[in-house]
Amino acid sequence: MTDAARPSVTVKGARQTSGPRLIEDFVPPEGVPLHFGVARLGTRFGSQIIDLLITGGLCIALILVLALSNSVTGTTLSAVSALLFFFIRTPYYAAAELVWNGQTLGKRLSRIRVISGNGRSLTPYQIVVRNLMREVEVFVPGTMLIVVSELDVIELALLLGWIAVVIAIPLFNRRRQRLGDIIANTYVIRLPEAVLLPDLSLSKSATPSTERPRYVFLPNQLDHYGAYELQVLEKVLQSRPSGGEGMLKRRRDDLRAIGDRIRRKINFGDPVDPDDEEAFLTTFYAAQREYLEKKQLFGEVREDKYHAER
Amino acid sequence: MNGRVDLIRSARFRVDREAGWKRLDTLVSQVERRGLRSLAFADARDLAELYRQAINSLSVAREISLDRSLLDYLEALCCRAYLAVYAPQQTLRGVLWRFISQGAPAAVRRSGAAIGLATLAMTLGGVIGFLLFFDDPTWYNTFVPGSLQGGRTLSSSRDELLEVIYPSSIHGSGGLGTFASYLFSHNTQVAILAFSLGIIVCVPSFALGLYNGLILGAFAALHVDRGIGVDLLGWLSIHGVTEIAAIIITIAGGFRLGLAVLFPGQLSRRAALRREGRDAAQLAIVAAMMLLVAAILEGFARQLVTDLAARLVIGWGIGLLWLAYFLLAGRRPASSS
Repeated sequence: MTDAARPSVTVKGARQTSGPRLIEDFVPPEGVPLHFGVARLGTRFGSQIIDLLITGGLCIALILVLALSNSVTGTTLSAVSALLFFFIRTPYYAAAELVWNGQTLGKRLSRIRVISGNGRSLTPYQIVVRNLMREVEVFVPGTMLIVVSELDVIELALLLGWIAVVIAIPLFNRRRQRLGDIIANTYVIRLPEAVLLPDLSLSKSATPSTERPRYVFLPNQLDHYGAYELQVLEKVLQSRPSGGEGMLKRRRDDLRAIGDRIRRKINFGDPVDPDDEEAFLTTFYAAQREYLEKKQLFGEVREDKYHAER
Repeated sequence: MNGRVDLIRSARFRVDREAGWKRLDTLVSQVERRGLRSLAFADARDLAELYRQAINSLSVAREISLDRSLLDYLEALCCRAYLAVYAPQQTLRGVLWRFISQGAPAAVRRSGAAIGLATLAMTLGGVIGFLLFFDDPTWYNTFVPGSLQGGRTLSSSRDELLEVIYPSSIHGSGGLGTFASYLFSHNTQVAILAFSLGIIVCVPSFALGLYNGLILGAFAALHVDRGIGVDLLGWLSIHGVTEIAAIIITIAGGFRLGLAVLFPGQLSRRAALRREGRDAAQLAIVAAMMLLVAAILEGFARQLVTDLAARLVIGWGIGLLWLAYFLLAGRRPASSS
């Protein structure tokens, strides 16, 4: 019911079932809203770890060279290594995101990306800001955690408070933006994957162009369902069993059950052969879609089967 | 395709345009794998054209089609094409050069008030620290943490202090090198904290500036008390002019963030933060550059140059260069500000 309150574009564009969280107000310069999926925090954490390993590894290699050359003393080394880590890490993130379209190596591997919230291309400024804020959010408290035993109570409380704030911001944020993302106005999104499935209404069983159609539906029989049911049916029909006799049989049973329900609901009298169930459902899908699309063109949008009650 | 009249409208729509989408798909895949540069001229031209057509298709499909798989495909395709078309176009070198030649000095010039405020905090701290020391020298132990004292305690004699300032031999600089790097990392930490915590309505930045001033003031007072104030000035100047200027600039960056939170004006706090963050980030990078220069000066020049006059000249000369850079660089009649 809440769907009715939302603008129709959002409902149709967004996945209604439990898909990824979507950014719904992203408008590129062309003026057509695009719905990017928000990257999961777990994925982002993983990519962060990868990047940390890369920069940390480089840093450790340099320090080893420095240590083996025996030119510096132990205490200097620890101070130098902290600096070195800082001066490797920060430029790495910024340069990588600039050169690889908002992806560091870690983001590349976990297939996520940074985009600009205003719909334009990412600017160097945004990249620098979100990465400088990462220092503040992650690495400053991180470094202080290492020396946690030397802190007094107030410092410890401040540190823990800061960490809590840093963790809470993306958790209580619809688009999972961390502080740096908010300041730079960027989102981290998962890379969309485009797979074009065949159009069901074009499949052979749905449009028998030569012979007479086997199943014919009357307009009153198509009045029962809305777009939501249509798309659930489409999802079932589009899913191809990966193989195995059991899977195939389960699918056949499912289709049979769905077909029975539909026929009961729309008062479809003619008998349907169990082996012909898929053809029946596909034909019904095509007829129902054509009917609903026609209604929609004339301004009557039917979201789901409760359309008559509204 | 003589059966096309039989097709339902949205299926016809798809059949007519599918070839273009498929081509866009291959182009986008190529860009994702090998970058925008790998496209031939005709391909790059087609990419932009096909992207706009696909966006158009998506817009229409949302209105006329109930085919979920088609909508999902177009959505994903347009998203991918958008990412390929609106990729950041700048090269790393161009960005760096533009920042150094124009962006950085302009940002510093725009932050005059914040820099003034930061200087005020440091100076205030310095004066208080200096005066308190002569009131009661034990304040020194309160202000200057043990790790920063580096053997220069209240009980140090004049000669011990002078030995640190003018090391008798280069060989003995091992201990000093350690101290220098400690001091440096301390100041870097102060800079990072002052910048980042400024967002909490300026207070931590001001406090850190004040505190840093206190340390310097007490430190200076100790040396003035032993009658070697000028020597300390030389020792500090050679890198300190750059380093303290860098800290002031980071504090100013923190102030700009804090001021945006405090006085957002007509904007929302988030928008104000975003606007001020632009300059604040540039200030932070300028400060990082300056700290790097200071580290080099501290690591090499201070140990090698032990003459008081030379130290003063190098330190303040470089300070003047910074000033000239900030005030003069990147000023153009038609520069975008």
